[in-house]
Amino acid sequence: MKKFLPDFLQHPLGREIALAIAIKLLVIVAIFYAFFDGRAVDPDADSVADRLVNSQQHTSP
Amino acid sequence: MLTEELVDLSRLQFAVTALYHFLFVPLTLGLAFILVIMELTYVITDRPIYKDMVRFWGKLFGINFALGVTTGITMEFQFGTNWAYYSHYVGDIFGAPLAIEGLMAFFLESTFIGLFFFGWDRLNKWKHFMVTVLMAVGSNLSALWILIANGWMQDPIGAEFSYITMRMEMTDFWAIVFNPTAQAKFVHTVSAGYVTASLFVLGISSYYLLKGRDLDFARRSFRIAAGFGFASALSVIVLGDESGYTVSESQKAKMAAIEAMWETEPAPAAFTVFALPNEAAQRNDYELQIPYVLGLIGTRSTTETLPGIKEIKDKNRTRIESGIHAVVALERLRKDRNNAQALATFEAHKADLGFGLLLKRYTVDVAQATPEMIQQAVDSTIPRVAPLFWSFRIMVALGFAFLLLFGLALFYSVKGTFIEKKWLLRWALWFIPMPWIAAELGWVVAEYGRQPWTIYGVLPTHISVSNISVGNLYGSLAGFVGFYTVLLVVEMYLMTKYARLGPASLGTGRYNGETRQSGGGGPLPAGAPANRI
Repeated sequence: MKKFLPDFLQHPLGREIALAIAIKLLVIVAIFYAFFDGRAVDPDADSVADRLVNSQQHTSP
Repeated sequence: MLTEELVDLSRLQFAVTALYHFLFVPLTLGLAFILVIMELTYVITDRPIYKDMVRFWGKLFGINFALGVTTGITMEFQFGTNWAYYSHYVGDIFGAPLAIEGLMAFFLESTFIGLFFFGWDRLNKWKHFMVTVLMAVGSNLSALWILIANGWMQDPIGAEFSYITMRMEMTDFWAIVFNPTAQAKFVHTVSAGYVTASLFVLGISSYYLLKGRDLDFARRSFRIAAGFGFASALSVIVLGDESGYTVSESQKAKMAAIEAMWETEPAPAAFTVFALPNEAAQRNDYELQIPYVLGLIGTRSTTETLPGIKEIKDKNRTRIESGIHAVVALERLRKDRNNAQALATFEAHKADLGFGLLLKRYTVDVAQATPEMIQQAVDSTIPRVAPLFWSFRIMVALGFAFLLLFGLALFYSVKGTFIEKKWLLRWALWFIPMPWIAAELGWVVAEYGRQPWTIYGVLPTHISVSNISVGNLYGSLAGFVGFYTVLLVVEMYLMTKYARLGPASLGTGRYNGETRQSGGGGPLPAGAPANRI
């Protein structure tokens, strides 16, 4: 099976680095997906204007 | 509804991921150039020991890179998730250097790191050396574009606010690229990386020398680290001074807070070596000062004054009052873009729009801001003094300690007696973590000192955050802290393991614990993976 892999993945270090990067990306994506998916806003000029000039955002001092 | 908790948690999450990320970065920046020096020595002398040095220190470089890469991605994601209003407001400018970093430097860096590790048997030594050079240049170019982006946050030049698109728009790309604040930060930051890597090599080489093993390998590594480290420690101080000068030009509040300078002093101002900043009384207790030094460093003159915190607050009050007109005029313009009177008012006051927006933290309608609210906004323009004062001083003290250590290491290297100086070797070994502490404190000074702004003088932090729930922030923060801590533990485990194994981990048969064979290939200590890099 190894012969079908790209050159760098035939090297043990290459496989380990590739696996480490893939796992890390998966964990990061999983955290963002779990906590932010569908919850983050996508502001346009009007929503920024709302934030800046018609803000509902009074915060406690 | 935004709360202080949401703003603070968003800041904390970004700070935590940035500080974790920067545990990996400086070693990559610096070790890449040390590998260049070692490999250049190898291609010139053709002595195998230098190739072994490149491969062994390259192995530690590879561990650090493999664990560190992707830790910065979370910050770029956070711009969208946690700082959506920031991203809209300044994305046209801030996004450009980040994109260039991703397209150019990161691909350059990653491609040549691959060739560095897997090209030993495929490239001749000169070609492999060029790969190592390009790998080092690529990693440092990556830092350049990130610091151009960060420099613009500290000193937002080359851009203008549009009330139609409600965002900052780029007016001069080259002004942003050659922003003196960004350039000073870049050279200071990469120099700090060179110091980190030099002390890493110096300390581990000292460990071998103290153990009396791999002496030839350790001696040569020690000498290279001492020379490169001395030049880097000198650079980091000189360039740090330049970085401080740009701060005194563009971020006077940060400079005054770093120096706990409450009153404007006659020029040239004294440098406070020690004090207990008393923020409630706005004065310093138990102050110890060196006359003239701060004025000379901060202004490069004997006649120019540096403003104190109280004077800065007075000026900021004027700007906040002017900013109220800008916010009110902006509100009118949003309702009627043809309102000529509102446009004229806005144009007259738009330089202070950010200061007017500071009041949004205390009131929905800034036109109705009370004197107490204005006073709160004025007070908020100065970051907390004590954390900045002490972070800066510890960083500077460590910087001079590095210079002394590398100076002595270089001196005794030239004399050829450093192996006998056990105290110097122990100092180098136990000092290995210190450059990381100095670098993290440097970021605390830079970023905590920028508060209450995300973009200095333009966009307040509390305006920049997304409307997301506090619960999601707590959850994701816990996730990031846990995940990054695992990475850090793995990094330290692998680094310690391979540093202890030493060059024997290369499996050449020439090093400590290996059976001596000409040409290498002898058995390895248990757990040592032969020929992995």
